[in-house]
Amino acid sequence: MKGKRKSILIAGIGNIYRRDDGIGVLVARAIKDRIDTKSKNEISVDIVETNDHSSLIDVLQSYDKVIIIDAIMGNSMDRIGTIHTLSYRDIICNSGDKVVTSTHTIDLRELVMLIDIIYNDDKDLILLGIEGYDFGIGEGLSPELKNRMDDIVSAIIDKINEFICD
Amino acid sequence: MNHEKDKGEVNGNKDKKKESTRVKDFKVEYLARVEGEGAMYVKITDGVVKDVRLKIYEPPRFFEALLRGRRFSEAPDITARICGICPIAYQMSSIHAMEYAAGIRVEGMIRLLRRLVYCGEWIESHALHVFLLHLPDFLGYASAIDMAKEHKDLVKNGLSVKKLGNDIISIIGGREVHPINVRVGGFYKAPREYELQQLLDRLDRAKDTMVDIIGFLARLEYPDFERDYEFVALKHEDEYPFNEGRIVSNKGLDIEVKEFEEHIIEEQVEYSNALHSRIKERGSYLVGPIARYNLNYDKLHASVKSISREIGLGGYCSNPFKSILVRALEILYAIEEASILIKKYRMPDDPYVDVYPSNAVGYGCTEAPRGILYHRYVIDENGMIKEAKIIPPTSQNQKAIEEDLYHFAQRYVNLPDEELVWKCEQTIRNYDPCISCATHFLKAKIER
Repeated sequence: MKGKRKSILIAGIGNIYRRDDGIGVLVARAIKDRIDTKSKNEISVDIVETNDHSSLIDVLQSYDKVIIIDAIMGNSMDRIGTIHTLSYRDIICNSGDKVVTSTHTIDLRELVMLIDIIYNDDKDLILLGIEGYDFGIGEGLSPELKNRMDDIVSAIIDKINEFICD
Repeated sequence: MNHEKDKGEVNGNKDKKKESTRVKDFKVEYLARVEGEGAMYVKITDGVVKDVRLKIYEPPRFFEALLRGRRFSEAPDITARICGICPIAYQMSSIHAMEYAAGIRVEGMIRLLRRLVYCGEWIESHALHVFLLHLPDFLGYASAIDMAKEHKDLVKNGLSVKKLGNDIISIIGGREVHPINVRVGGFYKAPREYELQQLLDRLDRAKDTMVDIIGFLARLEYPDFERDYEFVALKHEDEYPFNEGRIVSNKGLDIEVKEFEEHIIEEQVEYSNALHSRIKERGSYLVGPIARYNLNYDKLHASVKSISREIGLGGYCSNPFKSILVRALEILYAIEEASILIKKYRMPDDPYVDVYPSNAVGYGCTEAPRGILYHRYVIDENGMIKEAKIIPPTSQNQKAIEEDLYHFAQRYVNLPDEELVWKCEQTIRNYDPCISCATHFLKAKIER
């Protein structure tokens, strides 16, 4: 939107009123305080939150690198909080069976494929998917995921730093 | 809606019936390109559609419960989270309700900005539906991805229009995704004139783009399908409606917003936990672009009316498949209106007025991209919300969607299942059902 090409976008995706679905947004908020968004080695980092992938269509084009933090629907309480890292190619090649990003209009795979087709832009993009368990209606994470929040935020920051320096 | 008068007989003598009666339950497990969570069920017996049910798993008024006990000023931000596609609509309906409760009417540049930010939301939301969700149906593609491979420029142009809507929201709403600058009484911060004026050239180009695209859409083939709907929309004496007006219909409804619940009731149906709306005296009704267009055609800009006449649509449309055309015309209207508003805009000294509702009831109804969105709040003496009522457009359209499905499925009842499923999906997509206003995924089920 601001005309100049920005560098890194961190997008927290999810609905904070659907329990564990909100983990992407909550992690993005948490790391906002721990990442210098104005300059990190002269790289600018913007953080957005949304509950709709389609809203990112308008935004992604402006960035060199994109990190998407989203909930993944898990089916086991044992794996709650597990972080999956998927590259752009992983997402494109995924049939949708392995990665079920939770609840949004256009799914992430459609989103990145569209951007690739329309803008010939195979984004330097990763998805950090965090396994949740309770996607029912309600405010706040499930107690199990909430207990793991600090560890998740630290692990996500490590992965972001690794991706940025890559 | 259940048209299965002989259901007991079929169930009571299954073996015998198996020989003479062909019962077909038509199932669709997943409806692509419709957001939200729910299911569609169509039952066909002996080639006759007997039962159609659109099931929507609405969170049982979760947000209304969440709002109780919150301060009145929290309503815009909380309700904006209901829908990722139309947060502005939720913000606008809630702030107008709170201002009504406080007995305040906001005018001048704040009113102008509200209208302008709504232009942005219509442009963005309509463009998403027209170019990525609805158009593949008419061009014969299963998805936007498949369509984009062969119609790259069309999709690219559509997305550039969508981005323009997003940029209007971003400048007024405070950030690119999920606006946060809207508050009861106005805005936390008003944009400077030049921030909006920089959009004028792009608005001019987008207007040209949409004129071309409307010409393209007009040449598509549309099913010959029309029904005698009761259209319901806001009507303002001077403007195509966004935030204000009376609630009117083509069949005699003409009420103030505060009278909404006296004339429109919500009913629980056994197969869905979403409430179905109906007009007390008559039944189902239709809200959204076609209703707005039919009831407010005289308020469109002359240029938009001229194009609608050129493409043969004129001032009335009762074919839900042509909603794609009406949405495109509304995008064009919103682009032109945004340009007019930006040229008039002068940054106000105060971006908001103080509003303190107390011990009062507030009503708000605005035109979300998908139709009228009604809010009612009961506020206590300390400005806390005692009760909240939110009726989104998709809930209001459910009966009309079911009735469309019944008639449309009957017409194509002899098609193979896969094709009939596709036809039914298209029928639902005509409404751009934002089922996430109430729900998550949408599944569909049809049985023969």
